[in-house]
Amino acid sequence: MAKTILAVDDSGSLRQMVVFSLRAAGYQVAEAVDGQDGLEQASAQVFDLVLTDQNMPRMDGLTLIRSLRALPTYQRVPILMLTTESSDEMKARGKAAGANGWLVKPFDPQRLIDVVKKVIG
Amino acid sequence: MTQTHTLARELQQLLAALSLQSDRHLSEVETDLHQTDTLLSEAIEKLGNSFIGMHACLVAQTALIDNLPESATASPQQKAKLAQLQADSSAWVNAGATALQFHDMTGQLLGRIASHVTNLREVLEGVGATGGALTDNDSDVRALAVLASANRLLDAKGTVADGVARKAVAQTHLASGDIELF
Repeated sequence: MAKTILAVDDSGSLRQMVVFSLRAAGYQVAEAVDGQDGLEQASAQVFDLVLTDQNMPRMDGLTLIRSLRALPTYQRVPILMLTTESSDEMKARGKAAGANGWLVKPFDPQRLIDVVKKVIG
Repeated sequence: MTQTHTLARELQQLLAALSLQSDRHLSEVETDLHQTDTLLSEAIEKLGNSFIGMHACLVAQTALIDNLPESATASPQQKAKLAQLQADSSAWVNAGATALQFHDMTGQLLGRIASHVTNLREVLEGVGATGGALTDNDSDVRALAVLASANRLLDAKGTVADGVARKAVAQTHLASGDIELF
């Protein structure tokens, strides 16, 4: 059974590239348009991995991570940030919030697949 | 007395003209920004769809070639060439998928520009309102008080601008970014 991934990003074109890349590698990918949508979908279904942007309307990525980590079902689920943000300060905030990794945009599809495989197999 | 009248009147006219002309320029900037965003969004959607369509065709083509009957088997050289073409295609597709992410970054930058334009408009509206608060008969003291009020307004708007100033997009090229696992 294919591993499930929730891709959270307010940019439709970016989600399109994430879905294109990960589905080609055999993953089942759901899309959320912002942190709030991501939290609602993640609350309804436990995904194997969450890949989230930082700067989004309604709820940003760090808030989403903190909210997910507060749920018993998401305490061990890997969460990766995929964002334009690249400062050490933001990475430290992401790590403190509970992120398992930080990917700076733009991403190379093969490198994204390699990282996802390393994290969830 | 005549000098006082002149100061207030000239100041009033200056601020009103500054506000009016700046507003006209900002309106044009906002219109162009919105149009740019619309065009970029449509372009990226069409590019993304055609890109994915091309990739699907390539995958189907490769599968078809792989499933050709034995009698149609290509020579070792042709097989090697096909394998090379497939690897090249994958590399081009990956490079394209990386480059197509420009929309996410330009979208954020356009949004940031729009925020600054909005803040600038509010600043200029404040300046215009300052001019409107003066009359020809106002004294220097009154004119100075109005200017002090305008300065306080600009200080407050400056604080708002600082909040918008943080730049989330530092990328200046479209090479793939760093990856760090914690």
